[in-house]
Amino acid sequence: MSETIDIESEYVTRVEGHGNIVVNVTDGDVETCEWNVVESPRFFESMLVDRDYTEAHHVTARICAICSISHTTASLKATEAALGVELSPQDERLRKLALYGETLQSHVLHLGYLALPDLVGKQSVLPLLDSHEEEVETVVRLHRLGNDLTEAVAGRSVHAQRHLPGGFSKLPEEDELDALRDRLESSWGDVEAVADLLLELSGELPEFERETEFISLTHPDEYAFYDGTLYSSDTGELDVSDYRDIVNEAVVEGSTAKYTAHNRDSYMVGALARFNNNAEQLGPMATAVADRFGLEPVCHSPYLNNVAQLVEIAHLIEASITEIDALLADGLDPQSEYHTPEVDVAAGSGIGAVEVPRGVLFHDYTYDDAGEITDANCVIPTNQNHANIQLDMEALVPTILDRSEDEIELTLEMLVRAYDPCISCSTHYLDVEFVGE
Amino acid sequence: MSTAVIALGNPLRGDDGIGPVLLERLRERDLSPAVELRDLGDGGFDVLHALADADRAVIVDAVRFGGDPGEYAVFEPNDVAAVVESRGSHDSDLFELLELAAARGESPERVVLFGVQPGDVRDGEQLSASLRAVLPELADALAETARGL
Repeated sequence: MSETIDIESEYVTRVEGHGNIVVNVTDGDVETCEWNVVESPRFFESMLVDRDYTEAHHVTARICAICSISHTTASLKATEAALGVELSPQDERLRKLALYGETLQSHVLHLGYLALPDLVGKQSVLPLLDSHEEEVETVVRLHRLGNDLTEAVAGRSVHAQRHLPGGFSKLPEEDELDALRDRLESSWGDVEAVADLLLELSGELPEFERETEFISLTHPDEYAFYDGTLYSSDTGELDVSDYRDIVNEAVVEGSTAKYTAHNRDSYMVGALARFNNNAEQLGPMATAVADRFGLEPVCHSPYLNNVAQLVEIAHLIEASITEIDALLADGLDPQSEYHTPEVDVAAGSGIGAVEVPRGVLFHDYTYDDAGEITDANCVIPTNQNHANIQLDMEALVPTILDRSEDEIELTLEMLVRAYDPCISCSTHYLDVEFVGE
Repeated sequence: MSTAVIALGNPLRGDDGIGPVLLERLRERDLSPAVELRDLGDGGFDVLHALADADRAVIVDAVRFGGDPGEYAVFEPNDVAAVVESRGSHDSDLFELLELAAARGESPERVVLFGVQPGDVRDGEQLSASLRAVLPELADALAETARGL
C-alpha cells in the first residue's frame, strides 16, 4: 500500500475545459480527495437578458462548439414554449436529425479521440495511427458522418444557421438526405469495427461500481433525445416544469460550477443514465452492441458510460435512418427561400429540456411582451454530474491505495473522462451577491 | 486545385472573432470559385475534415505572436515550436490536428496560418478599435495569401 500519496492532476487532459483532481493520503489515511472545477464562469444567462427571441439560440449556441446544436435546440424549445409556437411534424423530424448528427459526432469524438488513447496507454490519438491506423480512419469517418448529417439540416455542423423559432430558414435537399441515408446504412461495418476494438480493450476499463440515481428524459414512443418527461431510476417519472426542484443546484466550495442532487447526494446524467432508464426502446443494432458487452440496465459502473455511448452511436444511426425515411416518404413540404416562420410575440415563460450528448439539458426563459428575455436559466448536463464524480472518487480512492501514484492518477483521470465532461459548458451560473454599496 | 480559407474564432469574444469577420469580407470579393470559405467557429476536430477536402488551405485566426494588435503574421505549422500540453475537445491543439491530417495522408499540399494579433478578447461582439482600423488591409492581405498559395 502506498503510505503517502500526493496527486495534483492540474487541468485533466482530454476533457473539455479545466478541472483538477487532488488526492492526498498520509500514512494510509485519505486526507483530501477532490474533483475541483476551476474554469472561469461565463455568465451566458446574463448575456441573454434583453435579447430578442430571434437571437437567444444564436447566443447560447456559443456556449459550446461540441454541443452547439444541443444548446440551439434547447434554446429554441424554451423560446417556442414561452411564445406558444408549434413546430410542424416535418420541422420536428429535422430538429431531431440535426441533434442526432451532433450527438453521433460528439460520442465518436469522445470515444475515439479522447477515451481510446487511455485504453492503449497513449497520451493522444496521434500515436494510434501507428498501431491502429484502420480504426483511426473509422473514427474519422464516423465523426464526419455525424457532422455531415448536422450540416445538411443546420447549414453547418456547429452554430446552426438555419434553425429558427418555429422552423428552419432553409430545408435540406431530398437528394442530400437520400445520400446521407446511404452513408448511414453503410456505416454498420464502421460501428462494428469500433465495437470490436472497444471490446478487445474493455479489460482496460477499471472495475468499479457505486450505486447512484440516474436521471434522463423518457418518452412513450421512442428512446428520448429531442423530447420527453423526466425520469429518475429512484423515483420514476417527474415533471419537466419542476426541474429546479429536481436538480437542486447548490454552490460548493472549490468549484466554479454548481453541484446538483435529487433523491441522493448525487445523480448521474448522460448516455449511461439514458441507457439505464430507456434501454428497452433502443433499436435492434444498438441492442446487439449492448449485448456484445453484456451491458444491461441498471449498470452502476461510470466507466461503462463509454460503452453506453457506443450503444447510442448505433441507435443514433438507426434513428436517423428512420427519420430520413419518414421525411422522404412524405416528400419535403416546400417553403419559401429564406423562410421566416410567423411568430406572435407575447409575454411568457418556457422550458426546453433536451437529451444531449452528456445528459439532460434545460434552458428556461421568461420573455416580456416585446419578445425580449427578462430572465434566463440554463442547467447543463456536466454540472449535474460533478457531485457524482466527486462521490465516485471518494468511494474509489480507498480501494486503489495499493497501486502506484501514477496508476491511481490515471484511474481517476479515466473516471473523469468517462463522464465526457464539458466543463466550460457547466460554469455559467455562479451567483454573486455584493454586500452593501 | 481547391483552396480553403478556414476561419476559426468566436465572434462573441471580441477580437477572437477576427477570423469569421475577415471571412465575411472575403465573401464580398470576387474570388475564384475554387476558393472555398469555411467558418468553423471553435472548430476542434472539424478542421480535420475541412483539411481533407482541400488541396491548399489558409487557416485564419486570432494568434498571440507578440505583435501589436491588428498586426498579422503568415506562417507555416513547422514555424511554430510551442506545443500545447492540454488537450481537450475544444482546446485541441491545432498543430496536432495538422500533424494528424498529414499522418493520415489527408492533408492539403500546403497549409499556412494567417494569424492576427488580438487586442481584446473579452466578452463582446465588437472588434477592438485597433483591429477595426486595419480590416481592409487585413482582408487584402488574406485574399492575397489565399491567391498566392
